[in-house]
Amino acid sequence: MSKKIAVLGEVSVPSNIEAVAEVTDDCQFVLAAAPGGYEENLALWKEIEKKAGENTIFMLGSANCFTGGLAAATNRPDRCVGVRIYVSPKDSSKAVAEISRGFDTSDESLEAVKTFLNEKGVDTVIAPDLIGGIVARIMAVAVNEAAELIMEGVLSEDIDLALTTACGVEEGLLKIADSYGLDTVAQQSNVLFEEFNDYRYAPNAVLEKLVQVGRTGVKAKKGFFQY
Amino acid sequence: MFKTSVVVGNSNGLGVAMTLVLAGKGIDVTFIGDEAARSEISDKAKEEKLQDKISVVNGMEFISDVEVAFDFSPDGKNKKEMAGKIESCIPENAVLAIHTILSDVSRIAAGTKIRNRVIGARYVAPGSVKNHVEITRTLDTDDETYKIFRDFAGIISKDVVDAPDIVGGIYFRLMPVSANMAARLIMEGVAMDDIETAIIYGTNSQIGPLRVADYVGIDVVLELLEEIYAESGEATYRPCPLLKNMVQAGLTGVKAGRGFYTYK
Amino acid sequence: MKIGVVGAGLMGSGIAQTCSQAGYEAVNYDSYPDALTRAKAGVAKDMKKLVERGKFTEEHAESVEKRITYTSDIEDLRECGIIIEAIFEDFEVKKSIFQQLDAMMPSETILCSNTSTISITAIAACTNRPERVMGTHFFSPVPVMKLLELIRGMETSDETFKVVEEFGRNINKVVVNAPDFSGFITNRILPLCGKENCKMIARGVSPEDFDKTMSALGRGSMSAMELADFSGLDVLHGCLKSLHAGLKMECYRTPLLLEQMVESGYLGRKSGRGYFKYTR
Repeated sequence: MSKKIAVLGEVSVPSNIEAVAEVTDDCQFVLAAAPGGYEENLALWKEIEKKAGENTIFMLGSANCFTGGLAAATNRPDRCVGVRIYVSPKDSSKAVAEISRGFDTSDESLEAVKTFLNEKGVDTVIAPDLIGGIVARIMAVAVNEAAELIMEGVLSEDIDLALTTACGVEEGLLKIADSYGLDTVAQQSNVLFEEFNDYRYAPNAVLEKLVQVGRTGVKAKKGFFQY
Repeated sequence: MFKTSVVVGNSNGLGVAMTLVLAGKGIDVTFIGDEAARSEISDKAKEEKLQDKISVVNGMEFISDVEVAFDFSPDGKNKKEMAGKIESCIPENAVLAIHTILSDVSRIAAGTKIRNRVIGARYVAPGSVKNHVEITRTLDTDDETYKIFRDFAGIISKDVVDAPDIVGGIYFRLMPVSANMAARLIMEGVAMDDIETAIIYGTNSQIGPLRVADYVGIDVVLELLEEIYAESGEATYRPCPLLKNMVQAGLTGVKAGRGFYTYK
Repeated sequence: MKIGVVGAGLMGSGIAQTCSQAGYEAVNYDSYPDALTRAKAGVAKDMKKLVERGKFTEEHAESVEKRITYTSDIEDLRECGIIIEAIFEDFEVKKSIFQQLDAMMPSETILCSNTSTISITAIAACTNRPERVMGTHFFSPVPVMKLLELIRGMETSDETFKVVEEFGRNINKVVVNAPDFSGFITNRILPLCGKENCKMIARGVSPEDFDKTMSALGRGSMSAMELADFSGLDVLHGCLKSLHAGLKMECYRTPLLLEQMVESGYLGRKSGRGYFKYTR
């Protein structure tokens, strides 16, 4: 019997996950994220609690919340798992989920989430219970450093050419950033900077300027490059 | 010889402790504070037969006959304003001694009008009032105030030390350092018991940094780190995200029954 | 099993003594005969003290001394099942010794380093037996301080770890598992506190006032400033330098006052002046 999942709010799921939009007590999983931080997401999960079944596992999808901190305020800290899904911009059926444990997440809940996602073709990776998971932290720092080089006068094309040849890879970092979305990079960087108080995450002025003028990447046909 | 004092404080222990110590030294004390603290003092005063020395007052009224006033009001966004309020209850020449751990003293003193008589007095815990006090001169503390208060503080506490006017003073500037790095080690995957054991045996102590943090309160440790980091920008004090996570989850230590460790 | 200890300085000699006290036969090697003489005399002196205090019987003390062989011939380490290196804190020097041992010892011999700052993985990589190399970080004085940090290199095998952990317990140490990063556990925290203490003094707080403050809630046997002078400010200085170099974390930067004191030769008790002045 296939497991039922409700997906609410600002969450991306790959095309092969069939989800319902309403929470009912026969849902095995609810994946949800509210815009904003702890307060907003807690309010959302309190609403969901009213309709969810006793054994429903909550997948906490917000990128701006600790799994531990948020889970503790729900009525089921052991059945809360942090889940951040990144869908591939090239193939909407491919996705990866960063999974994180709260202080009380049970092994069973973690396994259930992993199994469910893996069965749907979503790769799962274990991330620390920190804001930024894996991808956001790396993108913030990598793109920031590239933007720093641009600020120092290096051409975007040269950065990507150098990197792809030197590392033997197909796509350069700035191209990757354009696919990822520069507004996402900048927004995530800001969150990380505030959260970690670490200047390596502070979005570089070059990046902020591009976002300010709407050059957010592939989706806007303009980013570091034109499309 | 000092005769009179005012103590302002909530049920944060220090106000109560100071009132009793002063009364015990034969000094007349007027205590202004919240209901819980007032009743605690009334009870203790009766126990120790100090009722004659202590008058407990409900609100902020002007008290003309006071030489030294202690401000043990809680730290927070109202602290500066509170200093101004207390100032209006005491004569112009009374010394106003401010206790704060989340701020330097000068920025609290900025809430007062007559600044030369304001001085910092930091006590580590209610139980240490008789042992030790850190006194801090602000931008404006004058020599006379310093001398008067130093002598007065020496009547109350065995050790009187001079502390710089920084967030936390001496003790609370140093206390969160080991907790912060210990939390970072947990993030790096070191077992909690190994951290405790390493410090206990490495320094011949009775207790390790994680349990100390649990006793002080993870929320208190985090607040201190945030304020010290905001003041100094020093990497040592950049709050470890694990502490934020724990506070958000209510794992604030002994008082919550759970912090790094679990307590009955 | 015989335990080999390379280096007869304070640490090496203490490790050999500790092993012997627990009943192991120890071979203490050092290329300098003078060091060996000093080490042997040091152990004898310690044994005498322990007998005088009634902690050891004369027989036990004698057997402890008998079980330690002092040698400047590295070949004498051949029979040892575990060898612990406790020499100069320098990568090239350690590399040389580990390569020498790797070449001459049977393949099952476990090689341990007492390094406090150098990567175990890096040391192990100098040998052909990285799975048999790990860190055993003791604390001075070794016969007294019960803590032993065990550090696995990237390739250290479970088997090696088990054997060394058991050895650690057999010599009555309290064993903890530390990651292979500079500072391990204890020295990630304590030097950081030492650094902040130093900065407080630099702000004008007198060492006396400082010590009174840190013992406001009760005094330990030695106060923070006294302890720093006792261990040596050069030790704190060296620790911070290694931590900063090994971890590149800003918080381990050396404070100016410490640089000033070390450069001026004010290293603590041993130089007659540190935070406090000492009359010899």
